Amino acid sequence: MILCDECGQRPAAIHVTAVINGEKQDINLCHECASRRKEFSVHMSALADKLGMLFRQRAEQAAQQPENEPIPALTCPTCGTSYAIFHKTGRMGCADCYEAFRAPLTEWLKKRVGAGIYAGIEDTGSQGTLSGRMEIIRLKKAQKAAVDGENYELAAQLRDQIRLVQSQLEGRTHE
Amino acid sequence: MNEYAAPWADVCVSTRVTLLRNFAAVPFDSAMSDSDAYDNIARVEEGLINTGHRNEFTYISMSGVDAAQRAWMAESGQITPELGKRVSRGAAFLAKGKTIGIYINELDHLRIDGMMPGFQLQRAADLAMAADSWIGHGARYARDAQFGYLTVNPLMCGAGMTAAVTLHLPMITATQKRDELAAKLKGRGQVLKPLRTDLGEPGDGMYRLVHDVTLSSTPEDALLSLSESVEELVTTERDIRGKWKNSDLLLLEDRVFRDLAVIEAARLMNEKEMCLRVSQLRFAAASGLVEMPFEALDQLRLNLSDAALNLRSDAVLSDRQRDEMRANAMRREMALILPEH
Repeated sequence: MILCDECGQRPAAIHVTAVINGEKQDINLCHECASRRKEFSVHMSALADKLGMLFRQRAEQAAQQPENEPIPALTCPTCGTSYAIFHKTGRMGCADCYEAFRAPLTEWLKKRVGAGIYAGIEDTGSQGTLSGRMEIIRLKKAQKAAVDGENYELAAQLRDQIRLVQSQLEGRTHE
Repeated sequence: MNEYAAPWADVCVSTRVTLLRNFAAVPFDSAMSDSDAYDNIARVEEGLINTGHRNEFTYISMSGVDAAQRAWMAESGQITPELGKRVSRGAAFLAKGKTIGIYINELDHLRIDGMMPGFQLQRAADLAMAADSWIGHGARYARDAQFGYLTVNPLMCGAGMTAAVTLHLPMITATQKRDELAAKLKGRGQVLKPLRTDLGEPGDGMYRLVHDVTLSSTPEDALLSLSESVEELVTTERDIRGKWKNSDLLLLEDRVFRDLAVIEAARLMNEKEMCLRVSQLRFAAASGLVEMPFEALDQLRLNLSDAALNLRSDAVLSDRQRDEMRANAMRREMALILPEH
């Protein structure tokens, strides 16, 4: 049994490695002596904060992953990954897992994402069009704000800009 | 404020848009063979050759670089930390201007990053999508009519896209507005997190605002939403900086030059303190009190990281040796910034 470095009587309950003037020192203290030393009370409150954060994170994870969620007995015929493994790791084994687990996976995603699933951007070869479409959405928002603010001159300028970007995008698509 | 080409560089450090892709009919990471992994690299190279872009990229195999180099590359954002762990199979094609990174055999077969300094979301998205189209020119990606692009983690399917902006928000941090803003951003599906989580509470005010642009909204809408959030953060940060400068310039100068004096005096400086000091320099530059390009300061933060100092030294450095090297390097920078001192 290690005794407290401070009182030398009670058993040490807290073990601290401190770096003092660049040198490591192991300090063993009992609860009573540790509670009298300010620097350790600060460490303990920091520890309590960290523990609190850990518990909150666990609670959030638990909320995201309902315990009673049924685990169907499905296995991907291509790579052999079972739904149970996916449920545990959150990872798919191959693209065919999506087909094998389609129905429960759809539910799983709905619970976590909420709304419908957006099936992704269009085929490759659309270089530059994403920013073009973003630009059009941005300009349309600005145009609406200009109309709402009765700034019709600015709204007309924005309308011309929208037409220009649209024509550039169409030109690129036809290339 | 400093002359600097990147937009909003006084607050925005860099912008990154990421696309996750997997090749059709090739098992994902956990079920993939070494031969599959090799074929993935060959497919990417073929796509770049066939579209005439191979010469724009440098190829790096993770097995060909040592641990110190991998740590430095991950620290400086040239590769992802995840790729750095994949020593036997990981590889990357990096664009010579550091604007595109194609990381192969990470968790997904491909991670394609478009990277720009400052705040340039649309340009970064275009770069990532351009590289995506070059590779997808001859290869077929795993896609599904319902789930979109198929990824190892189903939460990333759909557009298979994430976007992140690195921000310097020292005043939002100091005035304790961060939590309030972060809660608001969370409602939009965006997460504001410290840039270096390993260094604890970010006294340096460096954050990454991340949006997983994947499910339930179009990439355009999601990126615009991120864009609006960045605009909000930049406006708030600039407002607080401006108010301070306009209300009490003398107090601002006092604070900034005291901070700089500490850098000049320091003989030992650990990595966490260095991040804080560079942040103070960046703030001083943004306030117009010292002349130094933001890009140089961001590079300085990377060059004085533990990973960079380890790589630069032939011998294994102790913590104390690193701290001394770092303090000396900071003093040399100060001599350049404030030659009259």
